[in-house]
Amino acid sequence: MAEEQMVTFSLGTEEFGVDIMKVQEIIRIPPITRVPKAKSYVEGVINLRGIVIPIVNLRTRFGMPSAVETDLSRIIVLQIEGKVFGIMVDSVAEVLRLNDDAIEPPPPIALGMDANFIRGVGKIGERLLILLKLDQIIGGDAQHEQTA
Amino acid sequence: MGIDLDDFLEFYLLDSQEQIERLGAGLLDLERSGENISLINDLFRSAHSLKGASGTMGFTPIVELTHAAEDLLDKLRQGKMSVTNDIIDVLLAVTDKVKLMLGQVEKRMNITVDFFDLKSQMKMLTETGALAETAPAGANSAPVNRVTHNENIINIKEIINNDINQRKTEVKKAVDFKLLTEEQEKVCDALSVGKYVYRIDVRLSQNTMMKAVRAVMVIQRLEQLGDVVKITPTVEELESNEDNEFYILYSTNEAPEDIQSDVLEVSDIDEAMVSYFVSEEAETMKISDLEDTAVENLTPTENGTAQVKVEDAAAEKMIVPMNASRAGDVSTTDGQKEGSNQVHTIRVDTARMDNLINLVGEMVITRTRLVKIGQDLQAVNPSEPLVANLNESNMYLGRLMSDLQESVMRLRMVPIGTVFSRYPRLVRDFCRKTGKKIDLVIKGEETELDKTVIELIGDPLTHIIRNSVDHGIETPEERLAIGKPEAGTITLNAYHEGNHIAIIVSDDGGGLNLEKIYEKALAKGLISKKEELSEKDIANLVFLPGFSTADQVTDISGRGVGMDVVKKTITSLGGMIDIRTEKGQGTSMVIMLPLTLAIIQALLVGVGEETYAVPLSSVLETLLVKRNEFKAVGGIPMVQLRGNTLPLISLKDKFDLTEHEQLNEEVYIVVVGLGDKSIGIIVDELLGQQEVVIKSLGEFLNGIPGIAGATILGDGKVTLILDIASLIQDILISR
Repeated sequence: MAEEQMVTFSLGTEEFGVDIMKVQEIIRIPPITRVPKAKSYVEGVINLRGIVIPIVNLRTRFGMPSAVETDLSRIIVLQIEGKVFGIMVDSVAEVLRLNDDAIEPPPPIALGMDANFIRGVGKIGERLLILLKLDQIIGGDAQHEQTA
Repeated sequence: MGIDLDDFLEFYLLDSQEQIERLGAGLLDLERSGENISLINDLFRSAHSLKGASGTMGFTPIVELTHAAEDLLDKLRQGKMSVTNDIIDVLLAVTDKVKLMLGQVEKRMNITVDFFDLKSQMKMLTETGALAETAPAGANSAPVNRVTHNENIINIKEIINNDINQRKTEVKKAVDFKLLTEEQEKVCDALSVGKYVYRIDVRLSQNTMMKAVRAVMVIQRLEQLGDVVKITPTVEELESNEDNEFYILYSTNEAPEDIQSDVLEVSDIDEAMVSYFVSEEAETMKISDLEDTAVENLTPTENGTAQVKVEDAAAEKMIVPMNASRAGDVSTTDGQKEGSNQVHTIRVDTARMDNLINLVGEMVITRTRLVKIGQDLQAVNPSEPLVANLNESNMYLGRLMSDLQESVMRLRMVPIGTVFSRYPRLVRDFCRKTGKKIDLVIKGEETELDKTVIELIGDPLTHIIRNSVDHGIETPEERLAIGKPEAGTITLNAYHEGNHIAIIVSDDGGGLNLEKIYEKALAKGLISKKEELSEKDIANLVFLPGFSTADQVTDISGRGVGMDVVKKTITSLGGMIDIRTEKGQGTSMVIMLPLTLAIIQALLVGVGEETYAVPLSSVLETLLVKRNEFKAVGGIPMVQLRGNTLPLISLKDKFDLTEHEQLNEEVYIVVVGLGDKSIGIIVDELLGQQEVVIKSLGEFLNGIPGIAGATILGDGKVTLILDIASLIQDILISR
């Protein structure tokens, strides 16, 4: 039985999961340099040990109201097809395993968010975990459709 | 399957491309210098090794083409034909075709380039050439010039040659000395100071006890008169294996027969054969063809030894195959250069190198932080000795870092000759087409530049040179009519000037027709009659985008075609281009480029809470201006600066920085300029100047107007670098 390992995090009351293989590291929020004229969801750029990487504010990206940074706020650094970027989240929760059969396709209207970002919904008992389609988060334009 | 075929292919491609470049350049030289026998010989060798390598890899079309070319060159080499324009044309066409083929190989495609025409052309040339020469031409009688020493080497006495080669193959076992870099160097050094390098084959008597001891004794003897470079098998191996033979690589001034007798004095040695050492590459390149030259055409002193060699060879005691290295100085250095180049350079994936540069940049930044910590500590606790210690170490680290940084940056530096080398062909082809006569003079090709810059500067230079050839240089008749030499000269020169490199393309042609340019610009509405323009201003009009449509410019002697693109490329590299022209005397394009793109001097400025870096190369000056001196013209604020109006740009507006604006009475203005355009950038603070390492913003954030990249300052925070060109363009277009 195939299973996936997920890093889960939260934005407001929602819980999300990303494939652990795509996660390079999780860091506290360093000073962020704003980039003028960049897309609104791009919070800015940070220095990750000498590499300048863009940071996506996931709240803005998903059209959620912005929130104040707290001690729990983190940046999850993701690496997708060799490209590195970070997503800003309210807090990182845990790492868990999810069986394939616990993953359902995204509901047509997924929690008011753009369904393009959602790969599926994972069920862990009563908890619902929104699994993100990461290549859609930055760059915006629809890339090749994944048949997950 | 230990080795990936792809690796071989990469090597094959790199080498073949090098070989074909060499062939192309050599052909042009040959055209210029006529019957230069040593050059023809080089060309033959290039074609030959290209053929060999392609054969090994199984690329038959390349083999067939190069084989035909080789035949043709062989005819030239033997003096059975003389160099004609036709031959050069055909052979250049071969290099083009092979380049295309290699291109297909590189893309892992099948070779589909058609080459049969070319092949039959070459065949015809080869055959008709042979027919023209009735004498069966033993190279002895071939009408080859043998005036200079180095030309001697290609005189081939085939009979003797073959004879010697035969004996060589009979007697000599292939021994792979597997030279290490330093050993190779030793060989090169020895040859370069005029020593001989011998290979000595020593056979021990059957059942010799303590073979290693004998070997050591031989070595000891030899060491008295020269240097033993290598012994194979090693003394240790000799002791433990069954072999009765060992081989020594030896450099000395002594004659072979002396060495031989010396070695034979050691007991238990049956036989010692002394021959000139030829590296494997040299042999495959058929340098062996040259050996007999030594027999016939050596200077008196060498002649003596040469005679000895042949006699000895005949006596079969000592084999003297040719020694290309010895026979002629020119071929010595050539052959050795090839060998040594292979060992002295390595090819490195650029990604790895960039990573190294990146890491060094990172260390520079980290050191800046350490320095800051040191300073802060000192402020808090000035009497603490540890702090002084730290600061001292920081200083030392600083020196190390700048050395390291410089060394690493040098890795990226490539001589500009790699770009320049493509122009002789360009000019030559053009001359053949138009009947113009042009000498291309190239200077400073060893000047080094950042690889990225080199890659990008090629096309603009091509453009400029093509313009010079096309519009600049007059026809031979025109030139003679006005008392100029028939052949025009285009000079390509590169040299360092401070932190920049200057590349100058100048011609002695007709110069720009400034009146016509002025009129065209007026007609196109690019300038107005009211504007007072100096000659220089007018010349610079050719860089305006509107000036670049072909039809109106080619009929004047101008260089309008695409010059705006040229200028754009150069400014995007942080460089500048300038025109100097004088009617009837010629035109020079002066290009100034920064040495490297990776590190720049920047002026840090504060705007609200943000810090930006302005490349210092475009900063002209800074001003402190009272706000009430601003004047709005067409919605854009301006100030008067020495009689000119300077348009201003507010980064706060431009970048939508919403921070509360403190309306200071006075503001700083950074005047930046590119070419003849300048604007002022309004900033809150000037924070000083600093060397910064340029980092890419990555593909997600590329192409943001006004931002050229990012850098990381001492505090670890990312700072954006302004793109002056786009800021200027922006404001001047919106005007």
